[in-house]
Amino acid sequence: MRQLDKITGVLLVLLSLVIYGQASTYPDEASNYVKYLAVALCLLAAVFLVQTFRKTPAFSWPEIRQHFAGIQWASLMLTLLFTVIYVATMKWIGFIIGTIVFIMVELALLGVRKASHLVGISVISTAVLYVSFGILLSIRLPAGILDGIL
Amino acid sequence: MENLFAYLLNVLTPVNLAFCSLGVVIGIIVGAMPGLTATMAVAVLIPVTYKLDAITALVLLGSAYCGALYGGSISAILLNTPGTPAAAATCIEGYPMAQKGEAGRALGMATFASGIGGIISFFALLLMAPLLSALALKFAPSDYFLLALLGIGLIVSLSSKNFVKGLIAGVLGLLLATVGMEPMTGFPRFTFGNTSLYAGLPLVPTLVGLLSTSQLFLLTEQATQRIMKTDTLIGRIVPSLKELKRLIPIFIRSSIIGIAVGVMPGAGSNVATFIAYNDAKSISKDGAKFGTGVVDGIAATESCNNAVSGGSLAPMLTLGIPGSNTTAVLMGALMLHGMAPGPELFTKHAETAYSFIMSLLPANIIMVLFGLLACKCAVHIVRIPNNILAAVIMALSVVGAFALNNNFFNVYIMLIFGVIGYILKKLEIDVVPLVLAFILGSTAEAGLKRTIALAGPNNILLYIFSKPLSLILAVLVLITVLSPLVKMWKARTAK
Repeated sequence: MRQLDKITGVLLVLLSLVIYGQASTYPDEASNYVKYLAVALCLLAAVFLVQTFRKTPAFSWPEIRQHFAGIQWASLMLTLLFTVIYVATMKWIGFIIGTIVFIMVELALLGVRKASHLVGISVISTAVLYVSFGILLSIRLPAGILDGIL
Repeated sequence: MENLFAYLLNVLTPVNLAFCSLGVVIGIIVGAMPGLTATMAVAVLIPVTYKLDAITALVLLGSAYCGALYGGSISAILLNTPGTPAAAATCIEGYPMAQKGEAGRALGMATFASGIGGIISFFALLLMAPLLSALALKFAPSDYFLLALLGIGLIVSLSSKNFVKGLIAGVLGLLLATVGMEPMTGFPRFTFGNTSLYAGLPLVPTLVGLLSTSQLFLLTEQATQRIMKTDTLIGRIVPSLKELKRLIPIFIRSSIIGIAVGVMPGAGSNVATFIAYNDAKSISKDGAKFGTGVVDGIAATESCNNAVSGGSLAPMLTLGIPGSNTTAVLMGALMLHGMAPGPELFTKHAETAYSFIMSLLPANIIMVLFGLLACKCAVHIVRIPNNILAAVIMALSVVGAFALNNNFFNVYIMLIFGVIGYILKKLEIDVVPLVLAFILGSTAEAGLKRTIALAGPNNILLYIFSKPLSLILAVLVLITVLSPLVKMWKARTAK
């Protein structure tokens, strides 16, 4: 996707400059290798940009929009958000409750509608995970709200 | 010989056989699901192995690898959708056979061919491993540096559609490997005050994020429950002895192709299976009918597919250069259990290394047995919606990453690299060279700096030219990097 490659090339050049700048704050022995890699990245990104612009000189936003059409951004963003919330709150809510809720929410996001499936799959999966990791492998999973009960 | 028998006995304990069977079953199920990969099957099992004995852990993971390589053929045959990229070539003959009512015959042949290919590659690995590890003992620091470059160069030139993008991915991987303390001075780089990063980015969560979690994000972006429909009747499964005997030349040739290609980092089983398919087409008496549902084609692709396992394990175990994504993850598992791949593995940890290799023999036999059972319920396996599996595997990945060190830092690393891997896939930057460069990056940097320390900054080339092995490796690196450029130049001048 040539139009996207143009943005990729520019981002890579910027990234190499940031890396070079950060590495310049380190002593020479620690920074030289990183600087050489940053320069290599910058040069490769420049070559890549030249290649891309030679093949398609004109820039076209509609083509880029077309490339990303059909992606359910809400589903993707919410998946990431819920995963982060799941991880961040596991310490307080606990593994069991957190995982049941997470799997139910994820399944609902991904199109599972039947309540029996939502509850059944999340409870059984959590039970299998808890037995496998918490009991068989003796991993200390956060108990959270259920601390004292489990 | 006696030692080998002892190592085999290590593997044939009830516990190890149980975990071997578990690994095979999980591998077959995950491999059969389109969208889930053999790498994912191994990656999600790694945290499970943390508390296991090293041999048992590797038996579980190796069996999952074998099972997943075979499992991809199930959906390839029933749904015309490869369960793993390696099974793409199996679709060509497998699906037409299923449409003709010969699904059982196709599945049965895939099962036996996978087992035969896996067993042949086991013997090849047993022969190659001591030879390669003896060679690795002679390596100087410059050789490690050049070998790392060679591995990265090969994977860039063989697996990347765009050579420059592949090189960019390689350099990005090398940069990721610089996070943490500099090897000579110990100065912390790119840690931003976070002491958890002093030892560098944790290998397993980073790999799981880039290879597995990113794939899960790709599955969730469609947000619909996809149930694969198939009404295919299975019928007779086990191929006749006469048919198996007839196909021996194809099994052997295809397995050799799989082993040879598997040894080359980045070449991968996708490339190998298409080469084996074309080779089988040229020697089969039904070559002209290929494409219409000829069982010889499945014999070729599936034996090649599983033979790649032994080939790709050889450089990983002996030289520390993974032959594929999955062996890269297996390398992470070895390190998790305190073993560094390379010559030391076969000296300090000989029992573990050889027991792991020997475990591939029972793993492939168990895979055939469970595979034949799986054929019967194959229709049900492929109907499990992969969106449901995505939710469960996401939770499993989180728990698994947490279980590595009982802290959430690894989980966040896994998620961050899941997002990075997803973005790279969307930008069509191949993650494979990045992963390999990340794994080899610290070896490359340490090798280079030791070479500079030994030879002096102005005499590096002289130092390299004075060592025959270094010179050979340097020439190979140049050939690997220059040949795609020469091809591009020739293509341009031909236009």
